[in-house]
Order: sequence, then structure tokens, then C-alpha cells
Amino acid sequence: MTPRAEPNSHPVWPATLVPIAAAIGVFGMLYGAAAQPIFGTWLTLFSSVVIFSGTVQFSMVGLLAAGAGPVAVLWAVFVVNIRNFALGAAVRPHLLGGDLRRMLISWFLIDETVGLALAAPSQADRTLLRSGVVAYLAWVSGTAVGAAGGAAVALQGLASAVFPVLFVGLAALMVRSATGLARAGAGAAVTLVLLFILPGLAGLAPILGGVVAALPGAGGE
Amino acid sequence: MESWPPFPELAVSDLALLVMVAAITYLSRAAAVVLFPSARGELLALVGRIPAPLFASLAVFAFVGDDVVLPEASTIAAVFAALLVTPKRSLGLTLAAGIAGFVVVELVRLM
Repeated sequence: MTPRAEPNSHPVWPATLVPIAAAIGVFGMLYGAAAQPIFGTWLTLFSSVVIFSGTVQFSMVGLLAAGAGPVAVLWAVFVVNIRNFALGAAVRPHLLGGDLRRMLISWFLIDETVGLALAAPSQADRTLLRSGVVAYLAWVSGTAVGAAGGAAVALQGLASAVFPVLFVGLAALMVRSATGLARAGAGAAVTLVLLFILPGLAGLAPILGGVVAALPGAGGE
Repeated sequence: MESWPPFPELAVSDLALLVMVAAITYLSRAAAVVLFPSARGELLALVGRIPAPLFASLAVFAFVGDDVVLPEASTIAAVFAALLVTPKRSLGLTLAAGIAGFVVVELVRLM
């Protein structure tokens, strides 16, 4: 499929990646500190090297700490990962190359990198790869520091603030019309409602909110 | 910071669990961009409409968390400042405004 080049592509500058990588690194430290008592130092580091998903890893550790068994953990991981289908569907039309290339680059498919890639759709491949490598290194090195006993509590507040700000900025880049703005507002509202009424599926709420608001007729169209 | 321990004998059950979690996670990513057929027609239009509401939804989720509570005042200020500059449609400016909003509230707290 030919990628859709858009005239108003916003290139992702290294300066944009710095606060995102720093926030990911801080959360990596928090994950490392949380997982170390469960897995030990080396397996905690191994988990970040081979999984590379904050949502999945925090869910896994939270369930194990609460006494859940492997089957419950694997089911939760499957449910949380359903979000990847929506992320992949959104970014796939902009990815160049064949199956092998897309298979390799899919390693970096996380919320933040997909958002940055969609912000610059004419260079989505490069952005996904570049931001993915930065995010991966930040996540793994943050985990290593946290697993080794490093404290990140002082930075947790700032790191927590960076992610909603990042997604606000990405949503603003994607809005190109009043209808698009209405859809964004509808998605946010649906997500908030879902978080209240289906707390057990909190990880899926933003994906469901985003997809529901994109349906024909939603957002005032 | 503590020193790193010597490399231990691996706990096989934990290792197996992590490998399975990694496999599910990676396969879901690869399937989304390789195995599933490309969107066409109305489905492609739907996919094209997803990003704006998806990121707005992720912003809400990141803001209130899975326990749906109002965050710290500094985080609220960060998001408010970010929203103020969204008409500029610059990701860098949005991040800068958000961090500035956060820092201002933290400084006020310290005074």
C-alpha cells in the first residue's frame, strides 16, 4: 500500500524526544523497583529487555504481587495487548516495505512511538524506529537503575505529568477539522465513562474510546 | 544504590512466564502490522479517523489513571498549560508549556 503523504507533516525533533525518554526512564526505574522483589534483579532487567511495554509489565507485576497465578497474568496480558491492534491499524498505512521490515519495526509499537509516527506520517517508519530505539533504551536503562535500588520517587510527579501532556499534544496534531475536534472530545468522554463503569478493563478503555469516537456518525458527523 | 548481585540460577517458572508474556506482546504488535489484512474502503476511512480520539482518550487515561482520581495540582497545571497552546499544533511547544506549568506550580508550593 502506498503511504499517505500529508503536506503538514511535523518532523519529530530530538528535543521533543528528550522529555518523553526521560519520563519513560523514570517509569522504567519505578518498574524496576517494583519488580525486583518478585523476579530478582536479573530477571527484572530481562523482562524489560524482552517485553518493552510499561502497561503490560506494570499489570503483570501488580497481579503477581496480589497473588495471581500465571494463567490470570497471561489472560490480563492478552487483554492489555489488544490495544496494539488499534495502534497497528492506525500506523500500518504509513509503514513502508515488506512483511519482514514491518515485523521488525513492530517491536517499537507503543503508544508514544505510534503517536510520534502519526505526527509525521510521511516519515512514519523513520520516526517509529528512531523514537522506538530511544524509548527502548530509556525503558531498559531505567529498569536497570530501579532494579539496582535507584530511587526515582522525586521525579515521579514530573514523569506522571509528561504523558498526559504528550497525548494532548499528539491529539492536537491529529485534529484537522471541527469534526475531528468533536471526535477527540467524544473519545475522551467515552474513555472517562468506561473507566468509571468498567474499572477491570481500564487498560482497554482508551482504545475503546478512540475507536467508538471514530465510528461513522460519531463526533457530530 | 545497591551493587548488582551475581548472576543467579534462573527460576525457570518465572523465566517461562516472562517469555510467554514477551511472546504475546510481540505477536500482538507484529500481527497488527503484518498478519492482519490492510484496511480498505470504509475501514480505511475509520482507521484514518482513529488517531485524534485515540490520543485524546490516552490523554484522559494518563491524566486520571486506572483508579480514576484527580492528579496533583502540578499535573493539572501541566495539562491546562498544554491545552492552552494546542491551537499552535506544535508537539514541542505543547511539551514545553506542560513542563512549564508543572514547574510553576511546584515552585509556588515551595515558596
